[in-house]
Amino acid sequence: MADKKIGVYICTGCEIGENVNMEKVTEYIDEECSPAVMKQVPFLCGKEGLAQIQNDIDGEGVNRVCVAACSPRVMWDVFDFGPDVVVDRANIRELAVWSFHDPGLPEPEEDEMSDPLTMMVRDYIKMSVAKLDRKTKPEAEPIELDKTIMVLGGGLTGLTAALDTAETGYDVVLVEKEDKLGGFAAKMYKQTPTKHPYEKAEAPSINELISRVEANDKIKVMTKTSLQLIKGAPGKFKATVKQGDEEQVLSIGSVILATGWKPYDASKLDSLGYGKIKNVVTNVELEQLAKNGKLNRPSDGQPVLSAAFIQCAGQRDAEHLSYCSSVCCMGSLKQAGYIRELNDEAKAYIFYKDMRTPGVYENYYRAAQDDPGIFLTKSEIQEVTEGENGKVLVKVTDNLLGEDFEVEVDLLVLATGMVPTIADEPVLKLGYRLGEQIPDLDLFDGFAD
Amino acid sequence: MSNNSILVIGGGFSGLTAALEAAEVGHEVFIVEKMPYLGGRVAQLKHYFPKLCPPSCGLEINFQRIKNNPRVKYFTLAEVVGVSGGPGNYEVKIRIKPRYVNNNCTACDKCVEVCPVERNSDFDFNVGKTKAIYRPHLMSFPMRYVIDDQVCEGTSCAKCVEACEYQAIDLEEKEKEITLNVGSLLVATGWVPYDVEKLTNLGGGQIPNVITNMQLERLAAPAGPTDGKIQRPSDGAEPKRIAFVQCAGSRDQNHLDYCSYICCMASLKHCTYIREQYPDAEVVIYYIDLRAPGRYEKFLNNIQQDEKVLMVKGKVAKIEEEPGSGDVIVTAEDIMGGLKVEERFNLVVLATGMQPSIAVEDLALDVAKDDQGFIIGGEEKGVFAVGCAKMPLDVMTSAETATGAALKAIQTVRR
Amino acid sequence: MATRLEPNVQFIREMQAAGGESLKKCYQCATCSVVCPLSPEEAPFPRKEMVWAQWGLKDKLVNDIDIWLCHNCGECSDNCPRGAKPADLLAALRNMAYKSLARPAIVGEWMSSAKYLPILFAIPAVIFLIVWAVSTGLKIPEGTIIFAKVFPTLAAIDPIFILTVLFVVFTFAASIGKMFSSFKESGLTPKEDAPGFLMSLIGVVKDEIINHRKFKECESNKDRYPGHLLVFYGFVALAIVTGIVAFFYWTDKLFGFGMTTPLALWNPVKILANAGGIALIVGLVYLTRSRLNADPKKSVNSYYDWYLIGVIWFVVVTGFLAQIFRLADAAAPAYIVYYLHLVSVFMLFAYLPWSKLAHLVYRTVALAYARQIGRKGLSE
Ligand SMILES: Cc1cc2nc3c(=O)[nH]c(=O)nc-3n(C[C@H](O)[C@H](O)[C@H](O)COP(=O)(O)OP(=O)(O)OC[C@H]3O[C@@H](n4cnc5c(N)ncnc54)[C@H](O)[C@@H]3O)c2cc1C
Ligand SMILES: Cc1cc2nc3c(=O)[nH]c(=O)nc-3n(C[C@H](O)[C@H](O)[C@H](O)COP(=O)(O)OP(=O)(O)OC[C@H]3O[C@@H](n4cnc5c(N)ncnc54)[C@H](O)[C@@H]3O)c2cc1C
Ligand code: HEM
Ligand code: SF4
Ligand code: SF4
Ligand code: SF4
Ligand code: SF4
Ligand code: SF4
Ligand code: SF4
Repeated sequence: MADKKIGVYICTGCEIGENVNMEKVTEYIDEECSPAVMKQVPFLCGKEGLAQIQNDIDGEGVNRVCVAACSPRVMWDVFDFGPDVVVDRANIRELAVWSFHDPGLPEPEEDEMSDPLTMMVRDYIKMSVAKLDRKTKPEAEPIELDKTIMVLGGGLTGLTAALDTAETGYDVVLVEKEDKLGGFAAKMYKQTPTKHPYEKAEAPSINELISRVEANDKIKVMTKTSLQLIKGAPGKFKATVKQGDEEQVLSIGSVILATGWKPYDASKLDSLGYGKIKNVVTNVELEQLAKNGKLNRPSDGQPVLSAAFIQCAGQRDAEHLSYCSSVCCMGSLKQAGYIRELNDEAKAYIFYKDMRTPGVYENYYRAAQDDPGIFLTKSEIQEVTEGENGKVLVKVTDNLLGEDFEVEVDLLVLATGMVPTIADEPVLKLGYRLGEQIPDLDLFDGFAD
Repeated sequence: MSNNSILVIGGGFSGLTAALEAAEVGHEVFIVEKMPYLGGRVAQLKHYFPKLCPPSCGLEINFQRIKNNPRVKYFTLAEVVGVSGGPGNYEVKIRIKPRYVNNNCTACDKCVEVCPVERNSDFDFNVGKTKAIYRPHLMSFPMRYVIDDQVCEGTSCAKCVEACEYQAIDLEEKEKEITLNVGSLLVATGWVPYDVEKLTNLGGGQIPNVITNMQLERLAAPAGPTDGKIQRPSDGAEPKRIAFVQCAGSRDQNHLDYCSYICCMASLKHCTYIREQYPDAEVVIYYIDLRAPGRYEKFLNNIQQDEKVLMVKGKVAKIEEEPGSGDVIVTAEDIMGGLKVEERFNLVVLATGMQPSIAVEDLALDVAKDDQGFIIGGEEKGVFAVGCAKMPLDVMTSAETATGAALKAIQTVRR
Repeated sequence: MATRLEPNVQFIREMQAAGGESLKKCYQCATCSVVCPLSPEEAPFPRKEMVWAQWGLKDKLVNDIDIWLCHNCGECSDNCPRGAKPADLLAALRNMAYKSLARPAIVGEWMSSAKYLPILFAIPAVIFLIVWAVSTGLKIPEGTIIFAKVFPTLAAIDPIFILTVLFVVFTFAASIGKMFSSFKESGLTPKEDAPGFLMSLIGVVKDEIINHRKFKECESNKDRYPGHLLVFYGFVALAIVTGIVAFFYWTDKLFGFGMTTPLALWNPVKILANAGGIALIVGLVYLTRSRLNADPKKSVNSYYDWYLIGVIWFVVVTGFLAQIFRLADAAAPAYIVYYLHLVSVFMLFAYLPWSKLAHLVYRTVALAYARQIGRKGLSE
């Protein structure tokens, strides 16, 4: 780039001229920085003002322009003189003239001193000129970027990401550690509604997604594969993956983290009977029982004629998971339907703290509860005990019915929550000094920020 | 060959996000925004959760991205009036209303000083006033003044024209119509606060000290009409007892037949505003379910620690003014306590919900909507709804839908 | 020891069939309890009834006094955000109470569905046909139209109706006893210093029934107040007329002074009768109109509702037509219509304890009891 030639343009509009001792400012700037050109312009952002600057660029060869006027939030698009001219905005209007409140200092005695406002203004301009003087225009170093995107995790999220990436025209490597794609969605018996009117549980749509992914020739699916190491930088990652005993290094441009969740460790919920009473299962287990067509009592294989669901089993509880898992209210409404479809006389109780079916999912709540065999109440669980013949007794307090009560059920389902896979494993395995995970602010209990 | 450009209708958080995502991958994007500024509803909030940033935080980043990206072009005071063609090849007619202030405007405020006409500020939900010529709001982007031609006296007055040293005002500016050719459309028309006048049993719009949650946002906003002081509209007094009425018009088949998703969180957030100013004020939140899904639970927990914030299960269904004092009597059933109670408050905030804006003013675009006005189709036509035009959502999730839809739009125009 | 609950799904289905079909939609927001103008401060209704109903808690519901305090104004259903129709649920519970309180239960069964209507009609139709057969051999008598020619007062009509009334009174006595014990079972007993039942009863009649105070508080349905008022006073007027006519019939028979029917049109008693009849018709128009105009999203009319309104229409229309045909000297239509009139009157009174009209007794009793235990609306 050619020699730096700095032009300083001071706007005297917008109350600047009236309030600032311009003579003192220009004198000072001239002395301290001696710019090639310095002008006071009444309406710098107007046509004539801009023309003056352009003239100096063309005529005097000015290539660094200090616009001493308003904030860059205003007129951000007018002070643009092409790629070769560097512009800096000295915001003397908002940061000095408009915000200045006379502190009532005594008039400076020495003549060369100025009033405080004028001092502020000249300092802003001096800083801007210093900036312009030291700035060099960065030269771009074009590098060859890898355009392949790695999707880590082949659940619903990963599959969707892979497919959309491919359909936008990029190559994808989908890395899944299990032998099958689909994640938890592939283990579900039914899924909560995904379309308007959001009223009925649907057959899972995951298989269609899997076959679309498998049929897409831009997507390379690697199952039973684990990620060993990621090195390099964005656009230029080298990812080491291991499939069986075979390690390979892939060149990757960027990584989509979609390793999903794992169920909360229910053995910590022994106070709700888990592990102690046979007919207490988690919602995740129930989903699999239903999927396999074996929704019977674990203790003796007898049919389930009544089931209770305890919501927030561990979630929203400082001792377990302090967050809400968002999906388990919807999940239990859906699973109550599983119990009901077994037998028209079957009963399903749902004990919740708050029924969280936000947004349009309210429709599902309304539709799902409209069933004579489903019983809901806000409540606190007092105690879970084992009854006769493998039954489970659930005692509840603080409920909507007006008194404490208990119910006796064949099956108790704990609506447990989801724990992010990245909570206690460094899934990304970054070969970085900062650690194997992306550092975050720890705001979200292990979820990525 | 399909047209590579994308049109985004609505320049709120969702629209901005979608536009920038598409532009930063190399597509030409047009944003059509009907207000005189970009940013949508988020610009009207004091803070937004989860992190309680001021709106300028998230919005300014996006404006910066727009400033630095020549592929994004935007039109304010603009509306789509006709769409023809099909995916890959749409011709969109846009009507641009006059702003009467050109880009000479330096935001010097001289015109406001001389303008004789006042109007209710819709930005402040009528708790504040502006002149007929006004700055849309403190952090407005673009930072240009605008004249409300419904109230301006026009050339017979022209005081502002005289005052403006920069020839920025043209009272004779006319409406324009332009045509754009694009390959795909993103609808990000967002939401409007549900009309409280319809909530007659809650005194909506009738009782001065019953305000909406959005009005509270404006009262609490530092650059709002009260410079951030939360006070009663009737007499400017400091409220000592405040009630929040959840699901005011939401989850209600007589009004909005869905949950508005954010109003529980909004009221919890509002507790922080109140606590900031009034360490001793008592707050009661009347709710059906406290919906702080996912990671928002933490926010709820924090507020629950506050001993002077009481949460009562039971919807408020009756609100009356106490004659004389300006206080408000709220009737609710405290379900857990089994009592029907009347309680007196100084200020009542209706946690009103979000109604899709196109349910109130339809869009000149043929796309399937549900009975509430949310867009439920369009993919096959290369039309994608994002944010609150699709379903009620918070900012974070709105932005996620925007990113996803931008990708779909890109797929459409690359086909 | 916490109570063991076992929802009675059968009972839920019965409630749904009896008019409470939407009860499962309720999400317990309590809007209904708040907007209800009659709901008390403690344990307000109808939110709690909704949750009991959803849970099939039959024991709680059959003993619940609140179903009688509700005046079915529909305020709750109008404001219910879910379309759960609490007013309809309470109406359904009342319908079920009509069915279960009075014996023999079979009449309640017949009253519960339109499919049994033929039976209810056939009973009086046969009785009065037999009377007709015996009196004139099913022939239309010659000469001036005097209904007693076909349906002799002394030999047939009076015995039949006196028996009917005795039967009804007896039935009510038994079912009111049941009602009292059910209230007590629900834990509601008058305090030591509470007024006696009779005092409360008088108070209720004086403060609530005569002026229809609670109907006036209804904002959702403005037609009910004039409608019920007119029907009520129409009935009272007709009851007085019946009393007077019966009284003078017997004085005439026994002492030779009095009146004989048909009365002349200018006779004050006749005027009262016709005025009562007209009040009844106007009231019925109001009530029928409001039922016909009901928004199906807010309330659904049950068979019990239509039976009562229908039978009263039947009584009134046949009564007036009989009179008109008689004055027009159209013998055949007059006798036939009068026959139908008798059938309708029988249908109204003989089945009273099982029909919705039983409310006139149950409500009055329940209101008096509520007054004794001090259960009154928050705004009262
Ligand atoms: C009981 C229950 C019922 C539910 N029902 C519904 C419902 O009806 N509808 C609904 O929408 N949602 C439902 N959900 C929620 C739903 O399961 C999740 O939203 C969904 O599974 C999220 O998908 P995902 O792809 O993010 O994660 P996952 O399904 O967990 O998929 C993650 C994938 O990543 C793989 N993986 C993990 N770690 C690695 C690694 N290190 N390297 C490579 N691969 C890895 C896993 O093997 C898995 O295949 C339910 C949840 C529960 C608990
Ligand atoms: C009281 C309250 C507090 C809230 N607080 C928070 C919070 O703290 N955190 C949070 O995450 N969320 C909060 N929200 C929700 C948040 O406001 C929304 O998630 C967000 O505004 C959605 O952005 P959007 O772009 O989809 O819609 P909008 O913000 O509504 O933007 C839509 C834009 O489209 C424009 N538009 C509309 N119609 C047309 C048309 N026909 N032509 C052209 N342009 C049009 C509008 O002028 C607007 O600029 C709050 C909501 C409420 C009610
Ligand atoms: C002679 C006496 C009475 C007659 C003829 C009578 C008649 C009627 C009729 C025809 C209806 C039906 C209205 C409709 O369908 O909308 C009705 C409803 C009602 N009546 Fe009466 N009534 C009598 C006495 C009473 C008394 C004593 C009370 C009160 C305490 C009462 C309270 C009510 C109430 C609350 C309703 C509305 C209930 C409902 O529709 O389910 N009535 N009455
Ligand atoms: S059960 Fe409901 S409230 Fe509880 S954690 Fe799950 S979604 Fe949240
Ligand atoms: S219109 Fe003119 S006077 Fe008004 S703010 Fe803009 S430049 Fe200043
Ligand atoms: S012309 Fe309009 S905007 Fe300008 S000063 Fe007059 S009223 Fe105000
Ligand atoms: S977010 Fe809360 S207040 Fe808003 S509609 Fe949903 S439940 Fe009601
Ligand atoms: S019946 Fe309706 S108003 Fe009453 S609690 Fe249920 S949903 Fe709310
Ligand atoms: S119908 Fe009227 S009186 Fe009966 S519960 Fe509803 S609001 Fe109350």
